[in-house]
Amino acid sequence: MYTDADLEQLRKDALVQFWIRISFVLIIALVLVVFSPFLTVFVALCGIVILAFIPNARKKKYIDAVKDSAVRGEFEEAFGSVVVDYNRGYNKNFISQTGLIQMGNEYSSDDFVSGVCNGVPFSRSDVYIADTSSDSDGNSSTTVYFEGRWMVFEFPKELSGDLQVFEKNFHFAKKRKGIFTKKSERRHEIFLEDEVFNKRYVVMAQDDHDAFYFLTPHMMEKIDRYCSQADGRFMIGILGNQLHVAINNHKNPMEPSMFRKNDVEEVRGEVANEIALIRRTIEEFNLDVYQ
Amino acid sequence: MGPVVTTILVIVGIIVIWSVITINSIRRMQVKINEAEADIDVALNKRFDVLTKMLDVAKGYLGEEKDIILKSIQLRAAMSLTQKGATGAAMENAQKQLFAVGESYPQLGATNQFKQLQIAILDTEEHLQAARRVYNSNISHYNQMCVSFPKSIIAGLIGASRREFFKIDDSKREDVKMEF
Repeated sequence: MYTDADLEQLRKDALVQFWIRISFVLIIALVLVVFSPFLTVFVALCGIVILAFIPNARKKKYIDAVKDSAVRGEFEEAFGSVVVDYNRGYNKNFISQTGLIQMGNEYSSDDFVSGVCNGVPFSRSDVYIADTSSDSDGNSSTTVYFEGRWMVFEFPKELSGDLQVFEKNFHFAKKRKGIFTKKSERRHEIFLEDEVFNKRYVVMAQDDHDAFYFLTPHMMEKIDRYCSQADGRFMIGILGNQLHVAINNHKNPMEPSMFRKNDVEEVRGEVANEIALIRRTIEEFNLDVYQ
Repeated sequence: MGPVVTTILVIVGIIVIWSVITINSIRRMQVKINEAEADIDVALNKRFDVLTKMLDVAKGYLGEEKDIILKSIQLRAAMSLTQKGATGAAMENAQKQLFAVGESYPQLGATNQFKQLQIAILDTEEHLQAARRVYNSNISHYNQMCVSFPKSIIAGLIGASRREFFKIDDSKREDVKMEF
């Protein structure tokens, strides 16, 4: 286990390595600009490659050390035995098959954690989904579809089909409706009795009964409260015996920065928020009711 | 063909297409209402089944009361909405009585079978509430079609009239609390 002093030393080492690399590239570039200006562009490209693609081993060591100390430790303390893997996340197919969100052409996922809370199996991961496209002039643009946390919980009730609820400003939710969707997977929009809820959220379901069964007036209130406390745009999906909760906040919360001193404390704070959110989700959605 | 005739034909065509669409949507809504009513029947049947199982488990503690309760919750064929509502209320009372028996006789309430049936009955209650709400939601849309102009004209022509809501007690709007 690392002490705070160890972590600070690792951060400094990573920072030193970073500046050495930058200085190395700058010095070579300067020499070449003076003696051979034609090679400047080539050297600039090499510099970018060195900086961007050759991994900074000390930076990785620092990040892993912070996560071992702050992430794994905090989760183990809260939930006992947990599986933590910083380099792994949800498989792209897993998220794609939920049919809850548009997939784009860029996908990455990391900081996977799974465990059991109040008898309810859960997992969470940071997910990034984007779409990069180029126009005819060669200008490329990236639209981020989702960046935030994705959580999956075991759902104690049985629904006959998929159910999806998301905020109206959750822009890249996939609705799985229309004639191009397979009939067996098609969802349709449901309007509940609560006009305020209908104005704020979109409810898509394969079966009306499921929507009304899950979204009781009390549950609608709970969702509204949960959503207003969430630090981003919110979507839930019930697929089989799984409850998916996606919060799009354009953050990768458990990622320490080597440029900030005492960032480990911030990471610990973020982990504490994650743990509280997992507990609150289980409580608000009555997931532990049959445990 | 002059422009006047063409205009008239286009207008008539639009009206015919709109009428067909409206008739279809009214018919579809009627089918949805019937399906929702059938869902209420299914939920009532499930609830009846679970209640009778519970009565069997608790029969040793109920005596003659068992037959009275059983009689009050019987389902009959072709029940009206009001009758279904009354039967639902009777089931609700039966459920309360059975839960009270479970509390009065801890040796009964502690049995696994009784606990499982309590969970099952609360689940059927939630399904029944959902079925009622789906029905009322469909009725609301259908009634709006029947009264809003110009759809009301088509509704009148095909004999579609407003239908009654399934009344839900205010107490039923709350979630079912599970306390064991």
